[in-house]
Amino acid sequence: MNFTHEIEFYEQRALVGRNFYEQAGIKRDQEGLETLLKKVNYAKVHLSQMGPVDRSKIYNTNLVEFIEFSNSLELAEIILKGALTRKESRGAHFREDIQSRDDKNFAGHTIVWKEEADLCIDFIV
Amino acid sequence: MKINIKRYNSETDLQEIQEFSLPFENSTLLDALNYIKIKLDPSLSYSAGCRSGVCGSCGVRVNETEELACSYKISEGDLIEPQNNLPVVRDLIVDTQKMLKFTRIAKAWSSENSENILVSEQQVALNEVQSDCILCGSCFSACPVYATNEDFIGPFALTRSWRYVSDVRENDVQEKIESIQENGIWDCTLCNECVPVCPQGIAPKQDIAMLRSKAGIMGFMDPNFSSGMSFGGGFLETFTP
Ligand code: SF4
Ligand code: SF4
Ligand code: FES
Repeated sequence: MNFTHEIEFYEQRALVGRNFYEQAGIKRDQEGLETLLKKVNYAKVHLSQMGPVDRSKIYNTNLVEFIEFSNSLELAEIILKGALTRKESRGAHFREDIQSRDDKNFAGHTIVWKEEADLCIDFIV
Repeated sequence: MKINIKRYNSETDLQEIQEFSLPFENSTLLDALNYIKIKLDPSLSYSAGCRSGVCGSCGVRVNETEELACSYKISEGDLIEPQNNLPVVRDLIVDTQKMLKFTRIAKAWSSENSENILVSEQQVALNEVQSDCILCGSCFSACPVYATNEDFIGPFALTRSWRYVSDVRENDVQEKIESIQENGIWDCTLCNECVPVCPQGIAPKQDIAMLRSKAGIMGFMDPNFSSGMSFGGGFLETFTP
């Protein structure tokens, strides 16, 4: 992929980080998670315009931080979709819109895998 | 506030002191470096990890004194440079391999543990401070001996050596003391430069003095005083550890 530098990824990183703190912390709800997912998707779609400025081949921390940011977007999507699909509250996952626990459907690990570009989610109960 | 940073890039052979203006005061040096990287110049290179004085990866020199970037509070006109005595990779990043190599030469590790030994609280305290070394390299950078002797084992590895030599569980002290005779404990000038720069309150100079007296008890001698004797020849065969 050819990366240009039209959008500063450091700004996107700060934005996603701040929003995660506010909307995907212990307390979360469907609306907040969905808004956040849109922001993460925006960053993912525009990643090729957020390339690093530094093109050096020696100890390029600008490039390393860009790769880290791009990986963190993958994880961000997994966390958000997992939280959206887990329609219950459990431990540090507190859904303000669904406050009760649902052992029948969710007493187990979240399993996430990819089919083409789509994330699929299931629960081992 | 303005601070100055020494830049170095081996690809372009650029070496210069660059001034940066910051829109804030009262910040740590690491926050200032992060601001510069994010807002002013993404090519500025430095190492950091924990941001809280624990990992030891952010060692630099400020106005010719070793500091941790994440602990140091910036002042107007500060000059930030990479650590001394190590090759600079880029800007403030140095290659620490050389420093770590000396721990191998000094065999500064736990070699052979005594079995079934009870360690008292006082005995633990013997090397508690040295065990807290965060490998920041400040002592190594501050040592003036490297200007004349590149092979000096140095404060970093010697303090580590004392950490194990003073450990009551360590059986093979002899081997460790032998390894630090040449370019080791006797080459330190006891100048004390390595002591105030340690963020963990470790005093390599004192530990080197302890190693010297331990070596003396074991029959080794300062080669500077042993005229006519071959190196390491001060070792007494009658010594039993
Ligand atoms: S006391 Fe010894 S080890 Fe420490 S800086 Fe001085 S010469 Fe180097
Ligand atoms: S002894 Fe102190 S100054 Fe030297 S590397 Fe360890 S923590 Fe840093
Ligand atoms: S960033 Fe870890 S000690 Fe400074």
